[in-house]
Amino acid sequence: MKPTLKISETVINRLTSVREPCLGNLFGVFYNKTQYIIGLCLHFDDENSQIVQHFPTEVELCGIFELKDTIENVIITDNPLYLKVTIGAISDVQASFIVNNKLEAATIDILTEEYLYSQFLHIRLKAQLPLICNPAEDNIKDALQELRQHFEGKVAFQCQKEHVFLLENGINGISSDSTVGDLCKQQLMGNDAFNKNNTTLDVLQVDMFKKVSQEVITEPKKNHAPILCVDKKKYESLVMVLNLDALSLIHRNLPLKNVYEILVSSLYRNIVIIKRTILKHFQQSGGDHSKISYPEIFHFYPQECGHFVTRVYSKNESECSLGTKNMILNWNKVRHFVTRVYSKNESECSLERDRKNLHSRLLLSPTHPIFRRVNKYLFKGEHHNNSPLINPHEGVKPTTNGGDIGIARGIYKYYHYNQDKMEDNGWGCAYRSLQTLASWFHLQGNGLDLPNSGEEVAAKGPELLNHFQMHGSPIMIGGGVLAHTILGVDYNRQTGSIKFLILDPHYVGNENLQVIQNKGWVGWKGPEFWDKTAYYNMCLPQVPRCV
Amino acid sequence: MVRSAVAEESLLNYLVNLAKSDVCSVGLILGQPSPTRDYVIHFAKTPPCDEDKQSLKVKPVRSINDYLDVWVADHAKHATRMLPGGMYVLGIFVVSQDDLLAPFSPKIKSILNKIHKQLSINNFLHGNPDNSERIVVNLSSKTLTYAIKCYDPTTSIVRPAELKFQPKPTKWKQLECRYELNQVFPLPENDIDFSLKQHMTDIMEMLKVNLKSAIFALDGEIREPDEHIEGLDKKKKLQTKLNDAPISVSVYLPCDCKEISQPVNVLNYGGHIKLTGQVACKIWLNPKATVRAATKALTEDLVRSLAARLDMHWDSLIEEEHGSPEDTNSIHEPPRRVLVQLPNSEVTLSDYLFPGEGPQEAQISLQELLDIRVAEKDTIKDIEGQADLVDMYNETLESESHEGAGKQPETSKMMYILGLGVAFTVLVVSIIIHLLRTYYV
Repeated sequence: MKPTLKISETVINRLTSVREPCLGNLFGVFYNKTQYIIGLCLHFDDENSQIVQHFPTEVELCGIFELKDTIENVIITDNPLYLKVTIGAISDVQASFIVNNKLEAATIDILTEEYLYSQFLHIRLKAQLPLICNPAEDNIKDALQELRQHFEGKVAFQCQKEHVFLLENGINGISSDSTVGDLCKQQLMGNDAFNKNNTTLDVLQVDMFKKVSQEVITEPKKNHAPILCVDKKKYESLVMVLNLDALSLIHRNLPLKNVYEILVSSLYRNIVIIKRTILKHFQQSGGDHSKISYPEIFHFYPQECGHFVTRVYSKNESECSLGTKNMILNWNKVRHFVTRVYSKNESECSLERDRKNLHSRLLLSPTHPIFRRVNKYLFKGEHHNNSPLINPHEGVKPTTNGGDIGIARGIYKYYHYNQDKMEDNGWGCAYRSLQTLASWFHLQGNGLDLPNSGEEVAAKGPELLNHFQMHGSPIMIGGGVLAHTILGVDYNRQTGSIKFLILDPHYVGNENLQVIQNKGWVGWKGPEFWDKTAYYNMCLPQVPRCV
Repeated sequence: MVRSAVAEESLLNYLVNLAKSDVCSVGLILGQPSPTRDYVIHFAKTPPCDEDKQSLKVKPVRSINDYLDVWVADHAKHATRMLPGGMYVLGIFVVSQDDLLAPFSPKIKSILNKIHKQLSINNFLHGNPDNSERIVVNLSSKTLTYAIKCYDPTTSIVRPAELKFQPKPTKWKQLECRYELNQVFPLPENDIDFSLKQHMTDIMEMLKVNLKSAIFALDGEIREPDEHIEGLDKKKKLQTKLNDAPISVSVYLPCDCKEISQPVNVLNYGGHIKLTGQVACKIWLNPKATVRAATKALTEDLVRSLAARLDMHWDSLIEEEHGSPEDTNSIHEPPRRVLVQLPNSEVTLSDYLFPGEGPQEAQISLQELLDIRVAEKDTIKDIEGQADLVDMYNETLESESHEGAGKQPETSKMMYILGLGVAFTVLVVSIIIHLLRTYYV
């Protein structure tokens, strides 16, 4: 029987925006007779086959896509799914399953991000393992290989905050027919009730244990009482802590007892990508032990992908952000040319090359950084209790203007009065707004650029919309005495009416999202929000194009 | 609440039999404490105190004052090594003509103080239970009646206590576990001249700390700490196994690297100790014991058993083998654990046999230390097995062969007689293979 086919919106959007013929692979999850396509990667080559290790476990290679400007012919493939995109004014997408060497047309259901994550959730497995071996390439390879051997039937997993354990021979602490979704329900109830941001994904945190006992019955012959071998030969050893951090994408209806094997294979994926980074770095450092570094795992969640991409960076390796960093503050009328910083090394570095490559393979726009360290996805609980809130506008009452909406892209921190034990109530609003803006730049992986301006805010609809679509940075606005941050606009071209998503730095309380949203410290405001008699300056930061 | 203890009737007979001779007998009370009552499993008479071993002439002991405190305390130490986790030297018994509990004999206090002190020396032995109070049973050889009191060496307070001898034996629950030791411990260059004993103390400390964060699965299930051991079988209705079969325990340690201080480093080491093999653990719990008590007892069993065999091993080494600063590679094979069933009880205690020793050596020490005669060899179970040192040696040789130095194993056998004027003679055969000394000078 042919499976049902659901293709993620983000895959369709990316494929239909490409104008050049090309080929690539499709990645997805299969569950209960349904093939979910959630990711893609351009080209067929070695690197392409490795990309799957960077996706959550259970996401597998499941088909190919081909972009053509003509309608005819089909490439030969042994993949079960073939997606043909005919480039046109509105590109046409056709899907076929390959059954007995013949193409059978399939209907495409569009899969929204919201629906996908109502069906699936992520399990995040964390564990520390020591890597101890002779500091030579071959020994490192062997030691990593050996690590893998220790997993089979020798580990247990514990779901955080719950007494639920997954052992090699069954599950514990919850009824044996439970599903993954049951566990998530339980876990969510324990969390802050109000923190239900749309973009917060359900992530089950899992810790790993290693088994140090043996079954009483197994292989009695090989056993012996403890003995000590003392070797007094001097030697040199690499001692490295591997912080494993592996994601799996799992259907909520999957029985919990099936999860054990998936978690073990997520460890394998993790070790494969860690190994690549360790060896690469080891070769780069030319065996110089003083330069040796350790791998760090980062999970990115690019909105354009709608799924996680996991990367491993060597701790010491520079990101080589930009050839030049422009820091220009350009207010209306008065131009302050603040500074212009040149980074020491203007040539491309290997990480930047990797990022560019990844952007192009995943068909992501090369205009803004996605895979820099600061772009990493912030999981629940990774955000300190009393540090500034991240993106407090998410989850506010939606705008009703019915126009085109442009909203600041990415994440920022909400700075307002009286933070950091600084009583700036009454005078610090402009400074706080600038902090908010700076945090956006920092978290996007950019330097700070602040030029351009505008008067008569209410009439600036098209310009502001364009700004958010082009640059996506928050806008700082100051009028008379009050400074604010504009996070988005809803501009209705038909009626000309406009609404602004405003973040107010004059809030003096502690970091309570509920209060901030309900009392309107962040929310959609009409043009009447602005004092018509006051004079306003606007700062529309332009964002450099880089990855 | 008055502290109360229960014991099987057969144990009373043991005391009464001791009263038949006109000597004064002192011995150890072994068993398991619990919040509600103590379960006595065994009385073990302290062997006659004879400082002049050569003469082998035993002079009759008329009074408790003829017993040296240190002698009884030493007996307590040796007996503790043989106890499974969760069991302790609960106190002492005295069979005497005079009443020694009213008033409470200062000699008994002094013996109990010494026992407490002696058992505090090696923490890994877990010789003193959480409640440091110990019980004293005094049987009058005149009237054949007994009295019981308890005394806390840490506070010097004497309190009343009760002891019941009951016909029905305690229904013990047995738990088994095989703990695998398979780890390489690098030795920092600066510490390389430390003795092996010091290194092993550090390793034991690490093991003890790690076990604190361990989780334990009983028959494949992780239980709530407050659940009773007794109830575990009832829940597993589908389980077809016999009710008295041992509960198998699996141990899991968290995957963290707390002991590594820096995320990455290239370090120079002076050598390493490789620990391999497994410790067979078997513990016995009263039916009212909780899962928490079970895991505590199991942890203690593991650490105590390792500590006991290492202690015996250190005692058996001649001076220069203790870790001479020379660059000596060696394989150390501490004695292995064997299980011995108590007479009239299902509970098993441990004994430790050196390589080459067999059940007959265990028979001797069991009679000396526990006053039990084990007739049949099959009541002594060799559960751990001996390592094949030839294999081990070849393995080491192979990995070192590129060094190009020829190495010859050197076997040394020796006889060792337990020191301190102790009367128990233990025949010890220790095989130590010295790999050649200076091959990289």
